[in-house]
Amino acid sequence: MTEAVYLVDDDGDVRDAMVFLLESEGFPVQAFAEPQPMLDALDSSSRGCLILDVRLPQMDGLQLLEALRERSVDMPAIFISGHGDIPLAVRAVQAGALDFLEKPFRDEVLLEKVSNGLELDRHARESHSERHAVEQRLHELTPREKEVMEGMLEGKLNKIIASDLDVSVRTVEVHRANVLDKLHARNSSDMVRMVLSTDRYRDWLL
Amino acid sequence: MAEAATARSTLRSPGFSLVGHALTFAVYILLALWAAEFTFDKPEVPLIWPATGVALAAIWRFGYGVTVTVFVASLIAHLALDFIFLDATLMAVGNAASAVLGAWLLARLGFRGDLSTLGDLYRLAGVGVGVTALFSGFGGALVAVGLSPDLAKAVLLCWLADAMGVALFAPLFVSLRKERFAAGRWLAVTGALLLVAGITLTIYSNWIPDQIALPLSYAVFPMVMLVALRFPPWVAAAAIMVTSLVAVHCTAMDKGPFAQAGMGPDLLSLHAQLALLAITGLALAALRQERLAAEARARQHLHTLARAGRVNAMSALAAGIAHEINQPLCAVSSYAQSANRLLKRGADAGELQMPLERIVATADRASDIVRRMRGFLAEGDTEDELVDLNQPVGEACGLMRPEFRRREVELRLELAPERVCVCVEPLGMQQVVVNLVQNALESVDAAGNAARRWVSVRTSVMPDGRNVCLTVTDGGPGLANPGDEALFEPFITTRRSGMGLGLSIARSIVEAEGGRIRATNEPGAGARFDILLPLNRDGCETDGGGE
Repeated sequence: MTEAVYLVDDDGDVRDAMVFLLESEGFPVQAFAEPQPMLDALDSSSRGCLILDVRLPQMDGLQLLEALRERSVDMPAIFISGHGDIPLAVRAVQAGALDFLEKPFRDEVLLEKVSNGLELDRHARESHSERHAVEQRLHELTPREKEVMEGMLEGKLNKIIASDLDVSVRTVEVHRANVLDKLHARNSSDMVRMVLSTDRYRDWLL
Repeated sequence: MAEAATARSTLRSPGFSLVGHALTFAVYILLALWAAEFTFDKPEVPLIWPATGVALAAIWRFGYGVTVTVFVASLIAHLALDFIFLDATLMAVGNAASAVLGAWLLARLGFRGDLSTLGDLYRLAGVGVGVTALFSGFGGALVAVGLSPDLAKAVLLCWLADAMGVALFAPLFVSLRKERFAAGRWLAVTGALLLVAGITLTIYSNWIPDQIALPLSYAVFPMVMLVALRFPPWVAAAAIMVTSLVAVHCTAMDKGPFAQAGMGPDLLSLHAQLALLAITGLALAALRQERLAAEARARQHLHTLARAGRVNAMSALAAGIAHEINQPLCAVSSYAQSANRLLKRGADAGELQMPLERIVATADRASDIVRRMRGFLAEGDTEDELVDLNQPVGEACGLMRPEFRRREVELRLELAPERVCVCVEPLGMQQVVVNLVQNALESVDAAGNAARRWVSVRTSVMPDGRNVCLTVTDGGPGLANPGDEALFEPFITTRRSGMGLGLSIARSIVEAEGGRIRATNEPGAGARFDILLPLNRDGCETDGGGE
């Protein structure tokens, strides 16, 4: 799916104006007047950045963000509000919003936030695909190799691993080389970083 | 209607008015010569002396400068009446001085001159009869008979003559003013005065036997009373003067019901009737004027109260309206900034057209909101207009809509498809709707029932075809006591923030327009307010409303 700025605001004039601004800066924009069509249009594969008006018909912007998150739509969200009330801004940021803008806003501020949002999303995607690749490669490890790898994650020396597994140090060295090779790691510290970034091993050391 | 003159405590100084002097001189001489025909035999003093009333009114109206004219006119009149120069001079001095004294007193007492209050009438009567006539009469008697045994009787007669002159003639001359009557009303005034003159002439011209003419002479009373109840005080004063001129003249010519025992006694008994007539007519006219003023004040108070209510209502709508204005501002700002970017990037003029057009349209939207708000807060016209009820109702709902959006309550508007013309004060009607709708919104919002967050506003023509119905229904909990009149009493409220004036003002406005307001509960919904206003069919047809 291509990257876009997904915008929802029930005020036609404001919506059109923002679309015009964003499109004239070359951002692809998809605009919605109501929350429901946006919920229908987006899923976990959608990429880009969200701009949500705080006050919307049917549900408010925060509720919409929660509903989107439930659908695994995890793009960065920017809230805009004509009311500028602080409690809402605080709640929005607590709910994981990237930022909060008060209407009327400076165009460069909005554009900068949107660029930041898209950049963040891109990073998230990249690290996600890298994680995904590492996880794939982890599956290629033999059970023994996995045990050796886990020992390495704990920072154990080869001979300790050898004694733990009741094998020779020479065998551990072979397995170790295989692990680095299969995971495409340059060295053991590169391997540790890679493996710890995966969902499975994220909490391994805690 | 006569414009209410502002009270003042000093005499006006309008500068030299040739017209004022000339009028004073002419009327003075004319009435003096006319009255001189009717003198008592012994002592030889006039039985009515209108010149005193004329002098008092003239100086009060045209300023102290007219005193000279009064003096000259009096001197010439008395010389013409064969007084020796010394006596004529003394007479003129007496006449002028008593008039100046009276005018000065009137000004000091805050006499307004339009005779629109009983107080004004008391001042004129007190000063005119009690001071001016007394002084003038005393001076006149002294000159006429000197220090003789007849002096007491002469003073009494002269005072009476002067007092009648003041009572019958001064009211018209002080209260006469420019009126902006329609032609029909001028016709009515003229007709009434001619009728009064005609009836008086009929009664006093010996065509009718005395036995009938005497009781018939009282027919002037209802005539004058009718005039007093229909027209401004000066018209009543004119009617009194006209009938007096005719009656006095005829009686002195030995005609009419009062002509029985010689000119002196006859005129004196006529005076009694004319004095009563003057009191009755002028008092009635003043009371009518006071009532009109009280009604105008009541309207003004309702108006002021209504405006305070509008300001109050507007403050409750402020948050929603601020948001509503902020939205187009945001759009305008956004378009302008985009256009600026395009320009900096070297875009050609054509690319700027669309954002610029949108800026104009969006700014119009913002100014429309401001216009609506200012309209609602305006002082407002007190005049009723023929309007399509849908128009003020739509305007009011437009004003309320942002607040409904803010509170996430639905506002359902069902306007009658045809024009529903009513004769109302549009702003007042708008306020009635705002008050009712605001109450409904509060009650729906406070009830907190998510499924019934709506307020409905409907206009329709009643099945009878004579009335227009404006209905405001809500999804709230309804009224505790639907038929309770206390609902419309001021300062009764269930809301913490309310003043309890909304419904009270709404009812006052509706009833001032000849309509009715009724509160009930709608089955399956909440409170329901119905306002019935008389439908103006002509308005719909002449304006070509599509039915």
